[in-house]
Amino acid sequence: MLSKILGAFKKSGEPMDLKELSRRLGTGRSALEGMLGLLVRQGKLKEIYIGSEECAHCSGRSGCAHLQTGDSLGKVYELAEKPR
Amino acid sequence: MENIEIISVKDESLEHLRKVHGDDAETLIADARYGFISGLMKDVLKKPAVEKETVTDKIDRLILNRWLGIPVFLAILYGVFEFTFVVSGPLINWINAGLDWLAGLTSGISPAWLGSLLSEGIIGGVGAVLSFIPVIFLLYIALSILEDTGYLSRAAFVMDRLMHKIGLHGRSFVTLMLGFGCSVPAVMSSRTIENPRDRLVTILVTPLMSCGAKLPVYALLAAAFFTAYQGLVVFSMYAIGIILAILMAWLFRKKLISGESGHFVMELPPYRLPTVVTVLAHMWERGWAFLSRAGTLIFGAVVLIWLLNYFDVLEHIGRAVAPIFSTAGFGQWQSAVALVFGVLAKETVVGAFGTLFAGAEATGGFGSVIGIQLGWTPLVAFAFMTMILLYIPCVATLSIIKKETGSWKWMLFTVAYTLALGWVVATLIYQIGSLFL
Amino acid sequence: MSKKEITIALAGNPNSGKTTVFNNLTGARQHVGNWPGVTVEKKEGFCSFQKHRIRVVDLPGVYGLTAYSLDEIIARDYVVDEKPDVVVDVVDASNLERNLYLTVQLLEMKANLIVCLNMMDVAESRGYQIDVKALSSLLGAPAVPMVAASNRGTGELLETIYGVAMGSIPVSAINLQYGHDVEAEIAKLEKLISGNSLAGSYSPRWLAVKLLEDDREIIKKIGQA
Repeated sequence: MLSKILGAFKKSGEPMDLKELSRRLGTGRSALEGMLGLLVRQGKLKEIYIGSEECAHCSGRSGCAHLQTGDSLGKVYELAEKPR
Repeated sequence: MENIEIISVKDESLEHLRKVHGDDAETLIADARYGFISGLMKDVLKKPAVEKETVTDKIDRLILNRWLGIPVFLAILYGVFEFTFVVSGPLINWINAGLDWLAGLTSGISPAWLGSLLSEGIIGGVGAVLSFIPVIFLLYIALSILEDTGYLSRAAFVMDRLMHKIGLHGRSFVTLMLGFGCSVPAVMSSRTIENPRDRLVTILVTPLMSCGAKLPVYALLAAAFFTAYQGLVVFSMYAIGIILAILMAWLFRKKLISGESGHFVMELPPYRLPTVVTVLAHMWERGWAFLSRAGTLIFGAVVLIWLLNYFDVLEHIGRAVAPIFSTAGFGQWQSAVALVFGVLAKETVVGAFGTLFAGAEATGGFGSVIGIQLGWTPLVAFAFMTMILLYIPCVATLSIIKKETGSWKWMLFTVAYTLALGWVVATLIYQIGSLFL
Repeated sequence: MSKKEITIALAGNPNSGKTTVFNNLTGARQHVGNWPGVTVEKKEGFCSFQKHRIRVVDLPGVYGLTAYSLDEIIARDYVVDEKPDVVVDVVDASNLERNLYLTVQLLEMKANLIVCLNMMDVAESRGYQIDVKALSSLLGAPAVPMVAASNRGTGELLETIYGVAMGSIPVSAINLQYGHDVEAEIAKLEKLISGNSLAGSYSPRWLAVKLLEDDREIIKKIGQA
């Protein structure tokens, strides 16, 4: 299943939201979130949201209005280009 | 030694499993656990026959719909501008009345140069920019609401899906959307795009996403030349910006090395009702940036303009540059001056007009002064607005582009392509429009 | 077992309501410190039941027990090294599949596990029907339904904790099988590990599985043993 997830990322014809991914894989949302989390911890997927690692280096952090909103701009999972 | 033997046997096992199953043992083991859990769930959990659709899912059926998603986005964007202009109109008038009164007070101050600096330079110039505070703050309220409800993430998702169809695979619309506030953090946020080609293209088209500083210019001209259709005209600027950003991104992607692109999955947050406090807080954070810029950068630029004007240098600068723009209908030296100083900060365009025409009266508000003084028709005003939308971004943006791309080359390329694009589009609008109107 | 003090560890995913369970158990009798050598917060508290003092240690909220994050290492080291009398795994009943991933790993470690099915009200509101007995029997560990937010189920949890600690409630954790080929490799490694000094403190099978997962902490430990 975990590799199926990675496969779905590579083959996807377009950006998907979690609902669509869970529908394509036939996996429940709960299990899917767990697996995505595991893949992120393994370093195979990257998790990006305003406030994540990239933002840590941004000089505009202190005044950034977007950091305040937390996850309201959505969280993105991407294939990691350089797996750990 | 025992331990080293254990490690090497482990490595052999991993090799063997990788050959047989094509995966690391870690993945196989995780899969086995999830498989067990999945089997267990069948006996343990009974979900309702029809899983209750959450409110979020119901709304998303419309918002994320393949055909309706983008029209919905455009409609919402248009609604935002209508709301902004309808509500801000009276507020702007009050502020202008106040500023006129202040200008009247200070113009008589001696020495004459001080009186002029205060009433024409500062109050006329900076004041003109500040009079659009209501527009800025209302827009930021609307943006905050869109963001806090969770809608903005859908907008980004829907637009990224569209961009994917035309071959732009990177997840870039969120970063582009930040450009509606200011290009500088938008360019910085492109760091979240892992693919370097997608990232570069995103940075290059970010300036085309109309930023908050351009809004006073649109507001000024739209109110004067298109009064009844203000909201629509300003909306069209944003729409043109978005369309051209996508177009240029596609063009750049073909011209630059095309390589593997990112694929992504997005977790959209559930919709929620924003609280008044958070919306106002976000509005204030963004609006404050506008105010402090007005007080510092714009202030400085306007004083500079006033000085150059006082010493009769300004007109020379304007006349030297103006001819280029005659093809687009705004070949007057004052327009040229405004455009030149607009490279410092876009609000300066309003500040420049404010200083140059301070004291001139007109019914229909300050914008119509421009129409009278420069002989502009609505068509010219529209062409000018597209020029503002597209041409050279402000120095702050240019500097961040250089920093984030790590080279002068791309910064200079941006200067060149945006100027060219602005000139071409404004000229086309004026020339073709003149045939019909 | 006639120890006067029972030590229990609270484990669970972040957002599973673990903190609320902790507060329900310990009330005001809690104090905060740090896990040794790190800046991760450690909460401990006390309560009593049947004349026994129960020390409650709140483990960091984690989704798994890998070596990828400090929180996970802290959680699993505590379970393995300190061997608490009972481990209570707080599970979000409305998000079972995701939460059970941790549960399964705790069972692999042969922890004395109680599954605390929290947020039963949320699950119910979604129309979920959970067969608690089936869950308990399939996992081989007692399961206690709970709505920590309204402090319902705490009594039953305490009784179960007491029962497990005293040995009157058995925990006979299932032995999860990973598939024929993986099991073959596990068997190979198990044999070698049995001769190793680590085999005393850790279950050889668990070590074998960790090795196959390329767990760098375990690899380090084996190298140092």
